[in-house]
Amino acid sequence: MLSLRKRPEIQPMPAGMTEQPIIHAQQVVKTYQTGSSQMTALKGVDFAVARGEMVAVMGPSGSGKTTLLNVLSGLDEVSAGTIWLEGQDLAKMKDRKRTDYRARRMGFIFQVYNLLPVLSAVENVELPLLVSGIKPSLARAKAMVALETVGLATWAKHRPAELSGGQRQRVTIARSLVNDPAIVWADEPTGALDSKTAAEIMSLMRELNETKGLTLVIVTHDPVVGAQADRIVYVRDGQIDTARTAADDALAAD
Amino acid sequence: MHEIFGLPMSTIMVVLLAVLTLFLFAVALIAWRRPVLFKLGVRNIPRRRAQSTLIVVGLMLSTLIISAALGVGDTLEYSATSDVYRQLGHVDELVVKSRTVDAGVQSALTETIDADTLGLVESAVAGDDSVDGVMPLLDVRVPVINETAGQVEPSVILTGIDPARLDAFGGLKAANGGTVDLGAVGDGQVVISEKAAEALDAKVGDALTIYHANTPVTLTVADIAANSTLAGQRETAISMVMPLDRLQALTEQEGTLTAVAISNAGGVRDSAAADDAVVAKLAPVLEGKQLGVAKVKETAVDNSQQLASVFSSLFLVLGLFSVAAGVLLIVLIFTMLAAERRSEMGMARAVGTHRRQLIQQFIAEGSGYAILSGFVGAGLGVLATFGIAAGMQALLGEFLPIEPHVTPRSLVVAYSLGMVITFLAVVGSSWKVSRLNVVAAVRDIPDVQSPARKKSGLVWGVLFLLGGALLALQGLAGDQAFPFYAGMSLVPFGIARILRFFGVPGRPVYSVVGMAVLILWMLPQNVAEKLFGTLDGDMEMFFLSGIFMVIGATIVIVQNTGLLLAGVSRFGSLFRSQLPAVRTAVAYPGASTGRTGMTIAMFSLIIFSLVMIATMNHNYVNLFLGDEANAGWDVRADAQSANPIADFEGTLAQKGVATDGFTAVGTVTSPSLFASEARLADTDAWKQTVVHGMDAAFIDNAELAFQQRAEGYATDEDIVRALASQPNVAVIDASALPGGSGIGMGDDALKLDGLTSADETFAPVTVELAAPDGGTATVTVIGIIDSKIGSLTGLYAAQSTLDAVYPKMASTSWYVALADPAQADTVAKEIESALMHNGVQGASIRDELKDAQQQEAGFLYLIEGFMGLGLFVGVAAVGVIAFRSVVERRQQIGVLRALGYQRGMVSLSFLIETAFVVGMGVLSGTTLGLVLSRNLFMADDAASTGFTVPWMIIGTILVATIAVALLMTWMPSRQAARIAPAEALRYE
Repeated sequence: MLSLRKRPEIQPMPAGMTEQPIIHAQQVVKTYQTGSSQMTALKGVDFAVARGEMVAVMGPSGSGKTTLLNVLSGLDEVSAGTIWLEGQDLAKMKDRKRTDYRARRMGFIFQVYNLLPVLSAVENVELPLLVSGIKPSLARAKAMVALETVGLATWAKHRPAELSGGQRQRVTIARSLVNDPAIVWADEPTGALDSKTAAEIMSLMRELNETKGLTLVIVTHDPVVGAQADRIVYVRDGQIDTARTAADDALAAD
Repeated sequence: MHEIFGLPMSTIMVVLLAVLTLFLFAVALIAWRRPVLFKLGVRNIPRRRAQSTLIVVGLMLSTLIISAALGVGDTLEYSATSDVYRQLGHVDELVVKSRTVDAGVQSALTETIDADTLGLVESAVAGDDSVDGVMPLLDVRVPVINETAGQVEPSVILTGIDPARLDAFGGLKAANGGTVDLGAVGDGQVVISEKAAEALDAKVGDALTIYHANTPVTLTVADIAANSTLAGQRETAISMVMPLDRLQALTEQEGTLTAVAISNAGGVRDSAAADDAVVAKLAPVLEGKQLGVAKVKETAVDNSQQLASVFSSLFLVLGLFSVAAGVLLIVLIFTMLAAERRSEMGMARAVGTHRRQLIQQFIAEGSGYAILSGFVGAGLGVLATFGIAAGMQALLGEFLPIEPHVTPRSLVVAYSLGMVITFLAVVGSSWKVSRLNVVAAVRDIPDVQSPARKKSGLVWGVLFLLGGALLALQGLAGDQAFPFYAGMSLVPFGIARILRFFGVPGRPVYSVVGMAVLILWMLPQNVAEKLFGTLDGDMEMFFLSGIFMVIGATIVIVQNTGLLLAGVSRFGSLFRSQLPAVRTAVAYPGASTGRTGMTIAMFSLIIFSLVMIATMNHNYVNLFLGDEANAGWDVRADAQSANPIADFEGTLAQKGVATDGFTAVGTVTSPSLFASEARLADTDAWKQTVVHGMDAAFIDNAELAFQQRAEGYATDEDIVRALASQPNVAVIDASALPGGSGIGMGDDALKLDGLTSADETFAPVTVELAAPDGGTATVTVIGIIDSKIGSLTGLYAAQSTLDAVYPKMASTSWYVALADPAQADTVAKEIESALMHNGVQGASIRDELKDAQQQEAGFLYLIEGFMGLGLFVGVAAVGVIAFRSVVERRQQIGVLRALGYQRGMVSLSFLIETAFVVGMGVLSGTTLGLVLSRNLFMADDAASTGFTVPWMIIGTILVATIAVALLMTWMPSRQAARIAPAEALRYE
């Protein structure tokens, strides 16, 4: 069940932040070339997240939420602007270094789980550790701990096709946590789940945020999910919607 | 080509066209009745051009291979029959010395007959419209020297014919296309054939010296004739021709002929049909006169067609491996296409599409690929035919000029057969993929097995068990290997299906089935014979063994992929930085066992066939070129009786040849082929062999070894002692064993029936020799010469034994052992040069064996090349799989990149996956090929040298296969690695 929490703030920057933000984006532009025409998905976005913060990025379909997550996490290149992650300029990292950085410092949760169907749950979870060069036996032990954390230790040998949607998303969460990341990116993590399971998943994420001090950036269009965050950032037409108010949010939630 | 596998090509064409028409009609019906489905299917073809190209390449292979195999048959038939018609011209039959009226072609023209025969023949055919010409012939073998050009030919056929009778035979054709007027050729002149002109570097006006009875005669070249029977050409011999009376006078053989040639009414190509009528006319007058009619043209044309059919069948049977791999590729492609469209198909079924309609959609798409690939395959088959013909020309051109030729009928058969095979595979695959569970397909989760399917499994199990058992029993009853082994291989599958119905786990059951099939086929021949008795099998067993062994091995591999992959994964963990790439690489083949199994089977099949051919080739070449091959002799000098040599060594010394390097000289003489006829005691028909008389020096100095000895002869030395001291004992080479190649054509060869190759000892065999005076003599065969001695062929007895049978020997061979065998070639040339006036031909025995083996090996390399075409199937398969995998796993690649997989790691993962699957196929094919070839080779009595593996050739085949397969994967894997993670994650 969702715990009773204060309503999240609605603003692009963390309020009263004193230390350097873990994520800091300035004037980020992302343009896609589609045939002969161009489509600008992000139009000069400024954005920052403090360490240990849980931020929800909300907005209507096609507003640029996922694009923002992709460029912030380094999965996609920016067309203009600068992104600093833990003080490092993402644009200055070569693909190899950026990939390596993702493996060691980030975790990802996707709407459609994106588990490898040919690997068992534990093999899926230990994959980021193996990529980081951790000894296989240690990786297996850590993966089991991560599965235990999400309550799936007994399902470790099962393949994704043998798990329910909620179980699959828990495996994804375990995978995103297993390498003790600084930032976890979640793209519609409850989009494919029923409301009960979605609530369980969000509760788990909140708990991990609070107990492990994880920084979580969650892209969602679900106000219930947004309500779980410390802060909500609204995106509309590729820009941060600063005009959006808490009242709008409450209305949307209703 | 007229026939293949004993079936007329025209009948095959009609049947195939009918079946193909039926298929095309079905496709047309789909297009007409279900245009939307048809369009849905066909529009997939141009969607992904690279993939469609690979599919067409894969599918065309069956048609290409069939087209090339039939093209080889056409080429050989065309080349051989053209050569026959060119050479024989209007000559249809030869009346020659023979014990029966129906004379064999093999021994024709090797004995002389009385000149009165001409009158006999003329009177018999007088007034007969079916004969339009009769020609007396006399052949003499002489050495010829062209002093002007400094060229020598030790053995040239000088033939004499009657110029007055030439018109009935279309005249004597000149090399320049005109006609030679033989009647105008003056005294002391001769007409030489084109071949002789080339070999002697002679032109009109040159003086040539011939030797007969050790007397030189100078003849001037009057003209150059085209190579033909009338110009003296006999098979590959070099020849000259002159008027008959002049040759008879020159050689003091007045009243003597070698043959009387007959020209049937009609043209060159249609006259042989009258053969039987002519023989019937002649039979009464020839009966009892030791004369017979050899149907030379009909026999030669039949032999050409038979040769073409044999080669075409051989290529087709060997090509079956590639065709089978091609069929697997079709199934694989359609399984992958279905996997890609699974949820789409599930949705279609959910909204009311019938299973039949899904099949129709796939058939529409498949027929598009098939029609395209059929045309490409048939066209490329013609190109392959030209390539093979070029290879054959290099190998056989000296004996038979090879002219590439493909008949439209063969092309139609190849196209139709290729299309029918492709269609059947497409229909079968479409039916299989249409059997999907709608919910599982829509949700993209693994399929579930319905109880109905389980029941069908039981039905199939019972059918396999009963059908297999019946087949096996039928095989045992008829001593036929094919039904027996096919049945025995099916039985375990039947048992497995039944056990599965009762819930026994699949992995152990199918692992045991795979092993059982492997053990059955890998049994050494002596063990198999003890268990099942001696069963008859031919070339088709090679294909059957390959198919079942590969199925068995693939099942064992696929059922135990987990274990194998764990091993690979453990090995991969040694390289920790690349472990994730290994982990994902091995996970995919393990997850889709069907796809993995089919790919492994494809490579296994092709590599199996290549390794088998390469290994057998290598071992037989080694065997026949071993140290024992020349029986201790280094040089052989052959001479015909026209210019006899009384004292070989003395004559050589006289001519200045140093003989101090000779450690031994043995002499072997032979009667003519006609006189060499023999038969087993108490049988009627005379058979062909070559009889040799050995002098004491040959028996003492030859290093004779015997693979089988008659009872009473415990050692090889016992046999040699008997040959030297006892009259009427003989030994014979191993080709006379039943199943051996024998000497002569097919049933005409002398065979020691009743003796099996497995017998170490045997009861002495009595053989009757046909004495030229019509009587018979008897010899007892007491040993079978070891096949390792490739230089001795035929029946060998002491000279004294043969002198009592044959008053006149046709040829003499001197065998020389040298202190320094490396000088064999030099000494052979010295002997030939010194004794050229006697027509002596010298040869290094080892070089001669090497040349023969090189020719055989060259031919086998040609076959290996042809079979290697199947590798294209495998490579195309790897390409299709890799391209499809990149598309299928696009989103997963995005996840991997998000999780930290470097680009190189993504590429490496694909490459390791291919290396694993191809590697398993290659390993399985190599192992099976080596085991089977070892079993077959060691079962051969000749294989006493031990089995060796041609690692160099096999290594090259394997490295090239894996390298090309990796190259085909490298392109899509690079493409995969370059996918932007965010873009891949968006892909659905």
